[in-house]
Amino acid sequence: MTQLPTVGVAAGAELSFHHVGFAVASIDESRNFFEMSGYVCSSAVLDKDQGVYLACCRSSEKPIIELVQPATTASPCSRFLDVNGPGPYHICYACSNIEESLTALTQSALRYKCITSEPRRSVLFTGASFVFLRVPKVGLVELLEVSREPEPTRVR
Amino acid sequence: MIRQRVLSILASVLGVSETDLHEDSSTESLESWDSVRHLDVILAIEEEFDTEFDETAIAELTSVGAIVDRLGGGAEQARR
Repeated sequence: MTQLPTVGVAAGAELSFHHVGFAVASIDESRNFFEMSGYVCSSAVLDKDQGVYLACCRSSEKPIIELVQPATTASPCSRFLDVNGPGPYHICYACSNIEESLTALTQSALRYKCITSEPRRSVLFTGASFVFLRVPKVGLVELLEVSREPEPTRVR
Repeated sequence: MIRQRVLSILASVLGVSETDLHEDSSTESLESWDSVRHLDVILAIEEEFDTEFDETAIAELTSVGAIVDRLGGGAEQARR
């Protein structure tokens, strides 16, 4: 696994790139572009806690893209779209233990704040837990706790 | 002084004019002050004032008045 940060990362706290969250106003109206560029996109699922619809786009040759569509205007994703329009919204790293990874990040003197105090269950990546961090000068970072190595991108 | 520094940070982070901010401006009244931007506000305040807020404080510092009071700006203003 690629380590991030490179200094002082304890065993089990390593992070590896998992996906980019891409904010869109409409998954249905945006998925064609990604499918034409070689992705296979899942059906949209509702994440009630986050107030967003999510779809996972996979390709054998490209990084995973998670399409994120606000389900309500109260969603921060809705505000993001208002200000920036569609585009990269967050970057997600997989880890084997969220708590250990957060401890490692803290010990590396990285400044961040967790958006939720406890990890939540992912509705898109079944069985995984996640937290969102706000990192100054970087933006929104997701840590996804997976019980094993992230699945390789599926062959179309 | 504290109040002015807080207003300056909030205006910058939330993309609003300082003149549009008052003591009661909050996560409830300002559309741009959502849960993600709130953390930007907290991080910026922490950096500016060289302090750190715990989770309870972060959940409570959701208005201009609350932030200013927490930093001692209320007392500062009362002394004038």
